[in-house]
Amino acid sequence: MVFSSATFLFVFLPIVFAFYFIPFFRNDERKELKKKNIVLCLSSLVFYAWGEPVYIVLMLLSIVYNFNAGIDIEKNGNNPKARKRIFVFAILFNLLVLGFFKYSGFVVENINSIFSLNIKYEPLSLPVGISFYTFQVLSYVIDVYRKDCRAQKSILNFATYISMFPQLIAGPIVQYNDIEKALSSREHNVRKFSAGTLFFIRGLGKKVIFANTIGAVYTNICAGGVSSLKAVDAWFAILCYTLQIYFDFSGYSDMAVGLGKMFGFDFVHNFNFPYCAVSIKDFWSRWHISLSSWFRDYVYIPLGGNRKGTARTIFNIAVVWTLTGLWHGASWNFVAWGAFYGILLIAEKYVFKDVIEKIPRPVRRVITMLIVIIGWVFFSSETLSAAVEFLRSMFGANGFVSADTGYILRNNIFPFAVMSLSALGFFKKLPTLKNVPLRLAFQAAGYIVVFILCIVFIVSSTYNPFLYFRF
Amino acid sequence: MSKEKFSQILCVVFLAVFIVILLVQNGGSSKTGEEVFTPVIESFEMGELKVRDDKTLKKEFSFGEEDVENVVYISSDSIMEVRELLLVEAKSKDDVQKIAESIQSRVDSKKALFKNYAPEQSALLENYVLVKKGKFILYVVSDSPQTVVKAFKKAL
Repeated sequence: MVFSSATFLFVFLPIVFAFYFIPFFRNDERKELKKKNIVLCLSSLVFYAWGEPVYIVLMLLSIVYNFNAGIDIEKNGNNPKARKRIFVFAILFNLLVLGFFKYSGFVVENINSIFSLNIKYEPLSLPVGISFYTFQVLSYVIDVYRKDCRAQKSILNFATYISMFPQLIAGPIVQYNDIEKALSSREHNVRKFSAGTLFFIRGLGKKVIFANTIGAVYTNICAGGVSSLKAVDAWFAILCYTLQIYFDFSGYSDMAVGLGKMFGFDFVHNFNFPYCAVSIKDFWSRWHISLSSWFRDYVYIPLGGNRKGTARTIFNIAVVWTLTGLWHGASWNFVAWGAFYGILLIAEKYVFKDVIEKIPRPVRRVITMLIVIIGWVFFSSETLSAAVEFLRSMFGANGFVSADTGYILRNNIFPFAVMSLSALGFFKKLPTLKNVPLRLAFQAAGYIVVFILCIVFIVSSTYNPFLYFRF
Repeated sequence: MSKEKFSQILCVVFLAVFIVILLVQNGGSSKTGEEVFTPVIESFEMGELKVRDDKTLKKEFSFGEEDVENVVYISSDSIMEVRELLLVEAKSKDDVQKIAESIQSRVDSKKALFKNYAPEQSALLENYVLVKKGKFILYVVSDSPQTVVKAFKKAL
């Protein structure tokens, strides 16, 4: 089930709200919160099972295993060897599950290719959201082992943390430390619910109105194959994809943050106008923030970060970015995409640092944006060779203009311009009305219009993919 | 043994059993596309129909030869002829659903096209068959689709 579907908006969510907010225990806050967590946990399992009834077993096993591992680690506080053993097994358990379901096909394919073997293997379909919830579970186990938090004693609270449907299948990756308190005590009020609703509508608009519209343009341009695209068409296609992936993913994240607020949680914000970045480092501090933070906290810093000399720092960056690439998908184009950013970040830090500082900020923005766009070519392609074909097309291998170029540009330039300005934060900088009631009235009307438009788009359109689901 | 340790061991055992069950169920067919396709095509009444090229496939179903492992598409040049056969071996199981959706959406639009003015074609389209098995997909519209389905299942 996706947030931008009629089933979710008009059936699932209202039912969950009804059970969640209708008080069962008016005079007992503790019991009422327990009921709320039960509703949230059960509804999350239903939400997950909706598309993946089989893989719910996998999630339940992960919950039970890691819940017990956390308590076991804590119980063995005075026995470092035993603690370490339980911790290592827990890490292996989670990584092997992720590895088996996500990477086994990739590994077998490469073994066959390298050693000219013909190992028959039928890869299993990827459990939705496995990369997201595995990282959440890992953050919990590592935090408990490092004694950064206490082990969760309630399996209900733990299951709620792992399975919570607002962020279950596409993040943000919520670290256990950030949510621990809210699991056993959180505030629900109209203000928070309203703020959550606004976030949700904004995200829904980004996804349904912007991402789906511009995504359809990208799909149409590339329908005949990327290897024969003319340069202008190829550039316009990848620019459309650049907007699609931003609105798609940030829209979904906004919806997740909004739903979280409605249920009393405060999730980390995952995006901060990434296309305004003035360097690659800056871009990654604005794009998929929860993933970058996860890798920083649980891989980069434990490896030594930048505290062990230049060579070690370069190695650490390389490890983090190879893993970041692989996290996104079991395919060489994702490894290349990760390596691409790793190399750029190393170059930015050690080679071009002084030069970059002398370049005016607007120029730095343009350069960063161009690099990001090139990066999306690897990301959007099915294979590494398809990415190379796409790049060749972009740089004129098949000529520059097609018979359709004018038609494509004329028909799509207006939505493209509006979305570009929005992605660059232009509308946020517009002056606001000083009269507060009038401003609020305009804002409310705006959100209502966006919501109605979303409904129209959802009902009338079948094009509703969600790019980050495959991770 | 503490109950936490016991639970962890139990989870590992259940996980192993779960994976084995999944692998057995996922096994599908070990046969090649050609081994499966040949008997199925033989069971299908070709008549005036012919094997189509990649361009037609893309036009009709929005995917082409490069998107799949193996494919055979048989149909007619005539717009009024709805009898057709499509056999696909997908590259991965993840692709099967996507391809099936693409076929389904084409069937729906064809049904809508012939509804109310071409009863014979409409009746044939109503009896279409779309079967997924492992990485293989069969889509057929014919006078006796069950014969083709039987051959497909036997060939796997």
